[in-house]
Amino acid sequence: MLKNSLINPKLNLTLRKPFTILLFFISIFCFSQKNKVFIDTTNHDFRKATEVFYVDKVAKTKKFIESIQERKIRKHVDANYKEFTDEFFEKIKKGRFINDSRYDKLSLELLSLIQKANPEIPSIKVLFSLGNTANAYNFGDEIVVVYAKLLQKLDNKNQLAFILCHEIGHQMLQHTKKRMIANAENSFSEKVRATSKAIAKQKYNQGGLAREATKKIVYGNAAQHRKTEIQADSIGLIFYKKAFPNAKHDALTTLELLDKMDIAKDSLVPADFERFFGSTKQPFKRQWIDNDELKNYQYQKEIKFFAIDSLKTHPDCTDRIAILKKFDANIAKSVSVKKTDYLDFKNQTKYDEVIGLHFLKLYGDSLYETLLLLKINPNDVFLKKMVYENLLKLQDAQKTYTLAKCLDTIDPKYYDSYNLYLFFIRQLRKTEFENIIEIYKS
Amino acid sequence: MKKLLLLLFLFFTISQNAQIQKLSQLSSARFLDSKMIYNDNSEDVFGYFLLYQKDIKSATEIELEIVLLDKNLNKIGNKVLTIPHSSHWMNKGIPQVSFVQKRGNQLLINITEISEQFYGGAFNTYGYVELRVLDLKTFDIKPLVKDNYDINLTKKLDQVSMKRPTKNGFLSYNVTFDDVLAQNGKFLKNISEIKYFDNDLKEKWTFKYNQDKKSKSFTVYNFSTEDKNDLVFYKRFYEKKSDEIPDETFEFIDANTGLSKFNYSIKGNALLKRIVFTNSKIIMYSMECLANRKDLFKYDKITGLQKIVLDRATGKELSYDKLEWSGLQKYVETNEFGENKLGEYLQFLSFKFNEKTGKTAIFAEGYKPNRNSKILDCYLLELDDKMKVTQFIKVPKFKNKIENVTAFGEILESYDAFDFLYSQSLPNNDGVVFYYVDNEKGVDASRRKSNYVLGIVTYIDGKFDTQKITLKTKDGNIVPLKAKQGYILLKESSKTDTELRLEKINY
Repeated sequence: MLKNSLINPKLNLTLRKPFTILLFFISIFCFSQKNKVFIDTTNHDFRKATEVFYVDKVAKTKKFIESIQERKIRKHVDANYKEFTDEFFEKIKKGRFINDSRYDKLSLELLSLIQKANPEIPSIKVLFSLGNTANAYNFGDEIVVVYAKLLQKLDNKNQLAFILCHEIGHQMLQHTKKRMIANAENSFSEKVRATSKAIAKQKYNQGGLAREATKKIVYGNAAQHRKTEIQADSIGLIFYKKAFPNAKHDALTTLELLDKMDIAKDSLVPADFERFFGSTKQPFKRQWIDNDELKNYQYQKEIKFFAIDSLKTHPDCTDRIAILKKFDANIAKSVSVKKTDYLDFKNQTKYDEVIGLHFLKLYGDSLYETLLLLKINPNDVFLKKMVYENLLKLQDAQKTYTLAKCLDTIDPKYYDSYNLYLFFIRQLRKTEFENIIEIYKS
Repeated sequence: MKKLLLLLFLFFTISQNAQIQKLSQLSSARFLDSKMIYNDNSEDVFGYFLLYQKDIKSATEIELEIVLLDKNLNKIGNKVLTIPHSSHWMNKGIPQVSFVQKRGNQLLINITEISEQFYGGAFNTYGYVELRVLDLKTFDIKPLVKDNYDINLTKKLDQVSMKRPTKNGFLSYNVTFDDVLAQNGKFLKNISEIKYFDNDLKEKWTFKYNQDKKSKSFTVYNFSTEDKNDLVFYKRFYEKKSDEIPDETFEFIDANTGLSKFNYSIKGNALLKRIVFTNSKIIMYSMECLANRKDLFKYDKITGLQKIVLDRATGKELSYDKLEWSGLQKYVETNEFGENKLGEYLQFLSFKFNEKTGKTAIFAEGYKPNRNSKILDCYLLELDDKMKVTQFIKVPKFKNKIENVTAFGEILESYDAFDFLYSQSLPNNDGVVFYYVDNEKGVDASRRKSNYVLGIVTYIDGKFDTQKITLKTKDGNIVPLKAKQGYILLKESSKTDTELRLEKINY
């Protein structure tokens, strides 16, 4: 995984129902501008093919698991692996992965350069995922998953290439397999067993003793994770430098970007809401955005149980940058190559994201991202159509008392802009909601 | 999206493997109790107070963890504290939250241990020893009184008589253990003082009554309700210790001075349902029955609903109006006691007075006092300021049966037998929402795994709107809980977890 902290804190979602393909996406194409191409979510053949491909990879890993000598370790690893693969098959079936020539072209171009310069790298498949997470991961089956949202955060292709090299590094070093076995061994560790037993025998202070023992295990695991990240950075840099000898510096700029990735660049201000949602029929009401709910509380910042630094599964990006500089003293001296061809692709992915989030039934997030784009492109017909479609879905959810399943509730962890938006949607009365939808109907 | 809340355990889950999971379970905190926290002097929700047991430290001490959530279910903070604990086999203590009240930047909390053996047997009184103050800015927690075992304070504050805190202080009666245990009039005559303490347990005033020790007659003061600066006591008169005179009389006492403002006796033989305070008026709703004033209230002889409006400053009766059953003839045919041809009655369960229009919105339910009493459909009424019916809407719903209980509405209501859940004002004075259950209840329902059907009625700008929501999930159940104004909290439980969703009322 690239960087755990990049997982969007807004979302804690598990998909529950199989997706049905909506004809509405076909109709969206009719509204789309001539120069824009959108992802196709009706990709059944692609899903089938990916499933077949993954079945083959799973069979390979199963053989490895069968070769584990100790029965209880083997059983444990097998159970954990099954749980993961079941979940991944579900993602494939539900259409989480993008089937689009623009994405394929990009990954093939970069992979072929990386593999040509590093022939020891096995065949790797890159899957681009929909979702509200800016992340990438490898799970040991010669597959690297890159979230489309991550692509929006990068400045050029080289940065994506370095990310791929890092994940390939995890694959080459067999980190996932090693972790699965280490977890199983930990599980049956005589030391842990004896500690548990001894604590269970205690009449008093069981909780405190168990928490201390738990801390040691958790901290140990986190420290081990951090080590593997440094290893993946190290080998990833070697692959990357061979493939892109003239763009070494972008390995550093990638980490610099990752470091700042959690800072939102775009936001909505009260005037935007007024512009988007006021009409003659439904004048904008200031009370819709008078949100002072969070100001009434003093949220505790202190971490009570775990020391947060000890829990990190990834080293800080600044530390990683320092380590990369150690690996290659000249890396900082090289100059980043400016390329503009990535920019168009990157902008397109923002539109793909809007569709993707809607497809994943994250209507609240889809609407928010749509509004951010609409702020920049106020006459975009496609975006207006997406506002309409998302509002309709949110209204349906409101009627069935399931709005919280597709729209977050305000949270002190979120940005003011996002909280304002969440507050606004929930202030709308039935008729007001209807009137606002009316604005975007035509 | 959904706030995942492991109510039962605060796990530090690190892995699914057996040994580590065992360790994780040992280190987890066990859920004990929770309470909703209301904003100061308000019916809106401030947040939620959750209590967990972290550890048993010794035979006499237990470690607890308090977790505070805001009204949107975000964690505000947590605090660990150690309290005395009884672990004797004859009297094993279970900590529970008796009350939590927000007062400015503080939470006044009372965590007491109840006996596992005598669960539910605790008196409805609170000892000052267990009172703690939690600072909402610093999360520091300390006892309300510096010296918990202050002898002088103990003398002043009879631990037995500490009554639930009012909005701005505490009430204490001069009772003894014997008084509390007797409760039959024998010792009630001796109770002759109400002391009022502020939030810091400083005595503010003493209200004295039953001062004539030679007199055989006496009065019992029961705290009824309050609003800002008014405390209302329901008074029971005894001509002699075994002879109570039924009467619906209330005394209004100034909470700042302890001086009596006025007394008011409801006309006829009545039973108070609700008191509503506005800035200048007091509105009292009561049922009246056909019986002599000195007789007990006759539940089968109710003649209608009274509305009395008093001047808040003087207690002067400004208006008296009554809805007789004949006032409903246009909508439902009943005799003079509200019984229709099928032997069914109406029970008024919730009242919302609109100060601007003078109108009253009422949520009522039908019932039939059979051998197995039946709870019937819902009825929504709007009455004008003279108690004339302006709207009468029947909302069909599931008819529940109360096995082996033959009772009239007031008794059924006191047993919580109706399907009405609660009402709540909507934000920005937009109106009111009434909630009720519209599905089968009881043992049969759980056997048949019936889905929960939540009935929601909104009354906004003089219009009733009804909705029914079937709360179903694939492998568990959904239960509605009270939430901040305009919202409902849906607790969705499955085999693996419990999650809470805060859903806005669709109005």
